[in-house]
Amino acid sequence: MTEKLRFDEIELGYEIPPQSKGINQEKITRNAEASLDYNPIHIDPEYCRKINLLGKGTTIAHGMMTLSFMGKIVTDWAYPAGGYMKSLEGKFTAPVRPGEEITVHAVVTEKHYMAKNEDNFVVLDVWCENQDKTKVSVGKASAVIPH
Amino acid sequence: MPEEKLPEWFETDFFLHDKQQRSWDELEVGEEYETVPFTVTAERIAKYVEGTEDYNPVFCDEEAAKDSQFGGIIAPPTIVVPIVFATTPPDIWIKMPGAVNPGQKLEFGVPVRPGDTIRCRARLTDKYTKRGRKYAMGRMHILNQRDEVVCVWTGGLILPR
Repeated sequence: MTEKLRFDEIELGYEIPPQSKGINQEKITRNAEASLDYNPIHIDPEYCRKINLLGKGTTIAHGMMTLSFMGKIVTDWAYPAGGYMKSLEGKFTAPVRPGEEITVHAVVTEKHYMAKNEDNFVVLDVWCENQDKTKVSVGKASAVIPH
Repeated sequence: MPEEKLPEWFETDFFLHDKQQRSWDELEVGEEYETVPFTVTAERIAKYVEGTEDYNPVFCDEEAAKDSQFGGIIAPPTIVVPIVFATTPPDIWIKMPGAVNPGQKLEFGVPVRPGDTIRCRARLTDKYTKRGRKYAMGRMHILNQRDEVVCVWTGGLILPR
């Protein structure tokens, strides 16, 4: 069994191993059903063709789907250490379309030392890129990691 | 375990309530609204886990979750956003068809557990124009049935009219 990650051992600049996901219409539709968001720009390819959505006429994934990927990379890292995610924010800088491959990155940029080492936390830059290395989202997260 | 119940006006037809929407010009900073309380079932959590492909054991493995720092299954933290969205009355600006999501910020409190009932008090905190676009910004306090803060969500939308 591998040792649990500890706050002490985290170095600034550490990059959590990136996570990649292929996006297709089935996944976007499944996410729409899961999150009760049936906006046709996400689930209706015919409607998107008709209005030529964002100049390409395809559906786009929910911004919140991208934000959930940004949360996942942080919780996958923090939870096994006994930690938790304190905050998550993201800006959506380019649309995500079916057929794209999204890679999520997260790098530790700050370490915060709290009184008696209780609730020490790190801040991470978190972003997603598509297969062309275009950033589709940029943001930050913070996570409490036990000392 | 209580069952999931969506508000009676909930519609998958996104445009059905479009006419009830006011334009950006008509919105007034400071106005408030509340969502309809929503019980988060184990099934809804499982669906969300599948929809976001986030199979962390604390979200979907009862035994592993019991041994974790959470002591049982919790929902992925981001689940609060779609729940608030789905339970926001159809005449509120965040439901305006054609709105664009430029980004959001979530500060988490206690986790959401199966059976929790989530509600949200929200306030329009700012509206501004930038590069010809109309932004509406809000602050949403999301609470559970014990009045514990689950999340404070700040963010907004670019409104189409």
